[in-house]
Amino acid sequence: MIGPCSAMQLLRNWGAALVVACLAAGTTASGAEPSSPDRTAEWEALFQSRAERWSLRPVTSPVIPEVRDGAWAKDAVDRFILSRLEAAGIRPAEPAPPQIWLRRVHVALTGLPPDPETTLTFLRDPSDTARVRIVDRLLASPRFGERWARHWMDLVRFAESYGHEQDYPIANAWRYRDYLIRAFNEDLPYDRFVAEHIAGDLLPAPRHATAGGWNESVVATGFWYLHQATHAPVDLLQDEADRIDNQVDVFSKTFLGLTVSCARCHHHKFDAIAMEDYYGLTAFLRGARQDSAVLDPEGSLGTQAAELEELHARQTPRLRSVVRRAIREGAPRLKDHVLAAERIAAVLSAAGSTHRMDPPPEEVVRAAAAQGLDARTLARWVTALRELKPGDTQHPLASVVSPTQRPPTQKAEAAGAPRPGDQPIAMDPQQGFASGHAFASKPTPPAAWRFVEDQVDFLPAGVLHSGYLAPGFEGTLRTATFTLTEPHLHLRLAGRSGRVKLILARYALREFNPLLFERTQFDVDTGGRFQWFSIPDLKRHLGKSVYLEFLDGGDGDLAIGQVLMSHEATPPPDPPLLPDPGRGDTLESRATALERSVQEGLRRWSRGEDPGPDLGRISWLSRHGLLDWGRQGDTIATLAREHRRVATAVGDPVRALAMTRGNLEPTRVQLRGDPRKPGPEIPPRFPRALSSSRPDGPRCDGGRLELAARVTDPANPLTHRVFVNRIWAHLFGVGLVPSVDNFGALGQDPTHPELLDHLVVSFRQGGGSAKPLIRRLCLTRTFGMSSTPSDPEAERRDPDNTLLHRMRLRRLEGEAIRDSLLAVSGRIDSAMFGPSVLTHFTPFMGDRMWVKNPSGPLDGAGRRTVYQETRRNFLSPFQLAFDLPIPDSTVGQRSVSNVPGQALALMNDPFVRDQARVWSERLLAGPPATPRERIRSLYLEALGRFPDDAETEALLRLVGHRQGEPSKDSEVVEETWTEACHVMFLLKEFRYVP
Amino acid sequence: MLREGALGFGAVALASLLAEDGRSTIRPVRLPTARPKARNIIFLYMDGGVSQVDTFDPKPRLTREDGKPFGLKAEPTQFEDNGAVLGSPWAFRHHGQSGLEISDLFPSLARCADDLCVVRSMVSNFSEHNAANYFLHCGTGMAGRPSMGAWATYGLGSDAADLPGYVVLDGGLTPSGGLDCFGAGFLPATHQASLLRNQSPALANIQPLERVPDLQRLKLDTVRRLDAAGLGSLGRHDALESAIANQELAARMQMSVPDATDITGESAATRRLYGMDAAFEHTRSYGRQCLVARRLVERGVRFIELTCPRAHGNARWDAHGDLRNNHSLNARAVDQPIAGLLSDLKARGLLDETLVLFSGEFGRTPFAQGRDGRDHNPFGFSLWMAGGGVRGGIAHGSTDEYGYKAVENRVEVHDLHATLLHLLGLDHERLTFRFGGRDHRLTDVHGHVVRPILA
Repeated sequence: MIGPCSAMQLLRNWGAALVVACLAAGTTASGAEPSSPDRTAEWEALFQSRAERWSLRPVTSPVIPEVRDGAWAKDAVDRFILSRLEAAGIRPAEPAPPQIWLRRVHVALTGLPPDPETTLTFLRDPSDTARVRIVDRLLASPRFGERWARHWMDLVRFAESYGHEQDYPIANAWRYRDYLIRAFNEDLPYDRFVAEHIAGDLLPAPRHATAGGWNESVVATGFWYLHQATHAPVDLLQDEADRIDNQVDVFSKTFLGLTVSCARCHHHKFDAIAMEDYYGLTAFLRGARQDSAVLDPEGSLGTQAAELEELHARQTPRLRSVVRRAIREGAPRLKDHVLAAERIAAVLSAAGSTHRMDPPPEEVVRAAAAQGLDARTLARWVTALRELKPGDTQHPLASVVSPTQRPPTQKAEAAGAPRPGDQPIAMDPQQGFASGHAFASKPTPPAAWRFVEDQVDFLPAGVLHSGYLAPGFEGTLRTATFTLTEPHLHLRLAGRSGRVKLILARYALREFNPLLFERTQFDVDTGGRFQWFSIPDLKRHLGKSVYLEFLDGGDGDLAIGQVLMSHEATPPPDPPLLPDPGRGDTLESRATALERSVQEGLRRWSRGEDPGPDLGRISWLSRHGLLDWGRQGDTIATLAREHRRVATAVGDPVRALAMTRGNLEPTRVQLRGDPRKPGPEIPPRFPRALSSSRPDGPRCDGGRLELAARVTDPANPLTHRVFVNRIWAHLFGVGLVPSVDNFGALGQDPTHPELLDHLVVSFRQGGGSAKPLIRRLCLTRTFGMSSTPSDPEAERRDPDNTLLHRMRLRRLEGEAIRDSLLAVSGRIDSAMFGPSVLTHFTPFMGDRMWVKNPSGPLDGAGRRTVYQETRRNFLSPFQLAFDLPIPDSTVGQRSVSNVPGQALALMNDPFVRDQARVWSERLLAGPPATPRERIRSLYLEALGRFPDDAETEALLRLVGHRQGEPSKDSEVVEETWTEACHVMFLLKEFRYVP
Repeated sequence: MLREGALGFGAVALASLLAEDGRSTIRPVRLPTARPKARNIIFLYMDGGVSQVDTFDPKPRLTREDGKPFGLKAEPTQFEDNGAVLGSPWAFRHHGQSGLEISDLFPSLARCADDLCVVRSMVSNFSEHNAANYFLHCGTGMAGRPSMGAWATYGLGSDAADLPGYVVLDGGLTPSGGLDCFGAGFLPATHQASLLRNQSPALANIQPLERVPDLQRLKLDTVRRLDAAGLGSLGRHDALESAIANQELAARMQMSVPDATDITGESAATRRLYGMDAAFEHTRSYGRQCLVARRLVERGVRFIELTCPRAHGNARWDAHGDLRNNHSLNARAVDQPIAGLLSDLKARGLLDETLVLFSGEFGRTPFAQGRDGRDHNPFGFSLWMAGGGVRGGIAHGSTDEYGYKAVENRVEVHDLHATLLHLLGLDHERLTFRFGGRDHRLTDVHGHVVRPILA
């Protein structure tokens, strides 16, 4: 059961509602661990000794050390650093010059160089207060989130396509990137940030986006599905296991600094992680599903749906009494319509005429007037009869027109007559497997109805209907997971532009490519009639866990009558024929019978009963505007108008890549990592090394809320250590634990363990968010040191600078280089968020004619690199040259390579050259200036300092090299300055910050 | 930590990387751990999967049972459109002193039979192109791991003074899975392949953009002067000195890359040898690639991969239908150029220290896909090697009577990798890189050197 400490933690994190929800829904885990290899005595002994590793021991609150040079230390951090240096007899480096500190802090916090005004102001007053002001301003800048989101994107292998052969897109991945930028800019507390990643779709009190108002918490869960994926995998179970493995790998490295995936085939070779820990984590993922979440901006869709629901309730009694009245008045006069229409149709056919019926032609208007009928309804009847093909036995009017024709059935059967080999698959949106508003309502009640384009549509009972309240809502309904025990599925469906998918082993690429899975997805366009659809021949998937998805993309509707899993390859036969009310010897007698039968059905409907056997036909007649309500027509039109007022302009939802809950599927250990060798069953569980002191808590919704609680539990020593260490690494170049993604035995030990724990404690006390910690670290004496050592002795005693006797030289990441080029040239467009700018293609990115790509602009529209598209098969060559990590798994520490390809890119990449031109044009368009003044501007803008005489002279020589040519030629002037600007980009100081 | 300022291409740049990014525990193997038999590798990648039973693995039974139902249990296939047994349209003959059997698809190559070391018992783990490609190139079925060429340059550096150590000669078809097949994965970016196109400019960013030829020199002089002055404010750092040196190297590469790929100086006889006078344009273009490959070997490039030309549109060797036409066209494009490459290398004494590898990502089914195609088959396929350190004129291992599954002396892709590294003088179990918490290898936890094929 949930312990008091854990309950407190849940409360603190997410409010009381969750705890209640958890306790109410929670089934306690069967405390019994599986009797499996992880309990052998040998493993137990190993486990216990490995669990003693420093990183698994509780966070301590170390004493701040005494130092001899108390004046040097500004912050406790400095004391931790200095005490180790003093013990080693090393003097820390001198403070860096102000302009270097300024550039360093700008790059670290925003990934951009300081602008000239900032530099000039700061150089006039580089005081401590000015530094505080600068740091605060950078932390408040929107550019901060753009920079730090990118750091996080490395951890979650962010990409917008699946890679492999066809590089299919991952829809809406960019919304996750935007989420990160907002989260860092808003300084979201880390625990909350983590909880949203793991279970944002389940949080009882989700956050809403500050601008836009949609459920923001859900968006975080998209990170789970940013993995690569291949279409048409021949071994589907292996493919699924590999995808889940990647999810576990990314999850455990990112949040816990643990390599849990190393325990996929055997217990971890070095850490206290058993195979059961690995498969326990996969069990959480088997209780979840990939979703294109339908998010409600500002809650407007929800409001609209509620309004429609309320309107429907109000209109139902009114409509019933109107229909009752209409029947009393003799409506609908089907016999008269049929006879008149048949006469006109015969005349038109004889004349070979293809008259249009809208507006009603002369003869129709005349006939209608003669009989007191509505001309437009009559015109529709004429059309209906003329369109009826002689052999169309399915047509609802077939038996009326032709005495020999029997309609196959008259019921609006949403369900077939079950056979012994058929198993119904239950569906209940109330179980929570629906997303969006389309399937939000319950199954239809008896005598259900709706408006379709101002006509009443009569619906069968017990149907899940995405257009029940109004067309235009988007949504997805999913069944519970079930095991395929029979090879065929039969679905009784009606709809327009609906889509159905059978999800096998979480395979999500069927929508792009039918190979091997052709029949597992189909579209439903029945014109409103219920029909059988089949997904046959699933024999080779027997035994797999599957579920069905029903999708309404907002441009139609989808009604689900029945789903059967069956031994039979064909759907059940239609129910036995009922006596046909339309039969008789003459057209008149058949039409009269039809009229009586329809009126009887409507009478029952108006009493709130099921209309009986003729519902299908009534519904069809009504939808096609063939029921003339006589004098009550106006009232019905009024009701329809009322409905239309609310139902039109259903807003567009926001779609986001997300995780959504499913039901827990039995998960088994896969012996030697082979999905075909199932071992003991395993419940969802958190790695034992991190929960040994606590019993398993309650679980609800696949357990991810519990998982989130375990990850953020302060008793878990890893989560905050890992995050605080990541921040340190981004600011100082190397983590206090250099192996930032691995706190296990193959990782490196912390260089300053006490400092790490000190920072964790203060991080927690400060509310557990990043900005206060970053602020504090940027203002330390340590961060302000020069990267040049103060004495040669320091380098000898601490050659790898592990004690941090000086700051580290940093090369800008590829993104920071490109963004700096744009910032300095002035081309930068600081617009935030939104779909990514398309990749710019060059002839050097591989030519694969079957992957069609429109190319984006050379300069990426001036947007920051974080907004440029990340396609796995077409990663930016420029970024790759500067060590963009391949989006495969977590990369907390990038390589920093040093290769001629980087120089070649800066020398000859047309983009770089182009930015030099943009910069020179801006420079020359400014106020007139001497070459010397311009060179000062170049240095100030690109490097945040002024040139010395030698530097000025060198550049003067370059810009003066074409002096022989006519100097008035503005083109020559611009070209020479373009060369000078380009030279600035090539300087090492442009991409290295000391 | 490295103190000298003079910097080569691979080794030293890497050393400075290690110094600067703080992961000082990473130590590349650097030196060969065994006596190397090959200095360079040329990988003739046969995109899409060559049919073993139509090329290097004769199966008379297929001819006998042509059109009859397949006698063994068929594993799931990519297209699930399995037909009857399909006999090979090509005859096999014995060639050379060794009598090695090769089909009539490769008349020129057949003359080099005594140099070929055919492995007939290859198996892969994947039936899909992309996963199988990643596996063949990088040792795992997913993208993001270092490619063979990256491991080779990581382990040995490059002997090329001013060329990249790992080059892909782009014949026109990028493999399924994209450039990730040639990536450095978690290894430093310096080890990723440079893709050289079959036209000018061959390499991205290799062509100066300056309008006047001398202008770039003037600019780079200015840069050097300013960098030197800037060191005053930056301080002395290895990384900066490497970057400065790399600037110079980059400038030289603007000359050396076009020079390496420029074949105008090659004699007419040499061009003919490579099929550059052939009627079929794809023979000519592949001939040019093979010739450039030899020039790169001469310049010390460690690992060279050739991708396929569009001999049969986009189909590569991937003959899901129309096998006869598909394999004829593909073989026609590569046969003479490869034979030319082998004999030219031999004539110049380079074949002894160059390993040539010919392989696709898997083989093809002995039964038909539809009527006249063959589906993917990872359960048994053929490849061959020639040159540096392998025995010529032999066929190692065998498949069953249908050529469907490897049955004798199975060779896994990991074993191939272990063997390639061994020939380069590297121990595949000791060539490791610490990433994400564990020591990674090209061969993961698998792989055995295939001893019987070693010379």
